[in-house]
Amino acid sequence: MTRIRKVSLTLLIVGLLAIVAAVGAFSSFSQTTSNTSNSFATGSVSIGDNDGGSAALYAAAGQKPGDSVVSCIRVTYTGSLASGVKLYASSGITGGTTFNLKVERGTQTTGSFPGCGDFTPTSTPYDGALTAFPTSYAAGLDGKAGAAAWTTNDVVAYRFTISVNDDSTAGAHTAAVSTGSHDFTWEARNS
Amino acid sequence: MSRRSVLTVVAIALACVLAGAQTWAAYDATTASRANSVTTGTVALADNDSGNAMLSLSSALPGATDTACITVTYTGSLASTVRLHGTTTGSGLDAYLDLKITRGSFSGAPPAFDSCATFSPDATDYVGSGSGVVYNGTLQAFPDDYAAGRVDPLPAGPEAWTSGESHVYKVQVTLRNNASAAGKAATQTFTWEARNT
Repeated sequence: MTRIRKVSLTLLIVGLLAIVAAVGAFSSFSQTTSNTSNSFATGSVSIGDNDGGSAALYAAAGQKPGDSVVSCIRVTYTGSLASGVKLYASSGITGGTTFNLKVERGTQTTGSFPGCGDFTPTSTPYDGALTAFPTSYAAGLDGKAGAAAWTTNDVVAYRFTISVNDDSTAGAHTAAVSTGSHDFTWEARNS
Repeated sequence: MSRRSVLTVVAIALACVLAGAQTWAAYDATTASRANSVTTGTVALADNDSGNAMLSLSSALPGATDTACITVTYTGSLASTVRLHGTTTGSGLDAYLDLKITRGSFSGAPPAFDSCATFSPDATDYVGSGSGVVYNGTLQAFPDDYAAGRVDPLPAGPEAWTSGESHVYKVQVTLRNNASAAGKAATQTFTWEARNT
């Protein structure tokens, strides 16, 4: 056999082997089964109110004993996870014992912020000196009576009544007394 | 890596774990009502006596009298009503001193305290004792406190004092002709008290 014939024969054998191998691959059956669309997603915690984002419940000047400002706000929970909600104020409120704040929980279906429409009170979590109002989540007032959990689309209306306490101490009010600017926050944390 | 670097890395790792623990413990969301505030109005009343007494009778004889004028000015922002009252001490002379208080104004430039030069009484006869008179009785009967105080200028028509308003009061005491007054003394404080309406 010449050298060329030997190489040709080798190639032929390799080619045959390749064909056999290919046939081998096609002769095997295969089957798979799958469990698709597995996913992992977090739940959500989301809360909002009807004040338009920046409006105050009260902003009044020149108030005297017996005067009061009454405003209502509706807080809505839209998260998917059950949450606890606390209400607290920003720190640094001034005015000593001059101002009294009453906060009531209730229901309300009519009236737009800060109006109270048909507000119907159900409980009163706070009625005392404005300066003693809690200023942290930990000390905050329960959003619902008994610290009940909030679930999706729960709505609670709150009525705020701020009034000026009587004080006939001579010369005690020759200068204006102010609460200072302060915020109220409803904070939701999933339970 | 030096020992310090290793410690730093460990500390950062720990901090991350702690921060992570807080972050993962709960989801949190807030909503707020911002910039709430309330401010009170004011009630402020002052006079021009600079702390000095305006009336004095000593070793007085029946018929002795002293007159003084005082200007009372309101500077509060809230409308107020004013009542006159005052406390008495001494040994009982107040029963024998007649007191007459007349409200008015100075028709010209205000004289020095406690002069009544240019004093002009209000035209209204408030209590039936003459133009501008708001009290006419004994010093003893003059009310001692706010609750019983004489409403300015009269109970049926209290005046709402507003900021910048002032009135002049002419206060006159006269010793009655009564032997029982002998050897007695009295000291009186006159108070104008404003309370918002």
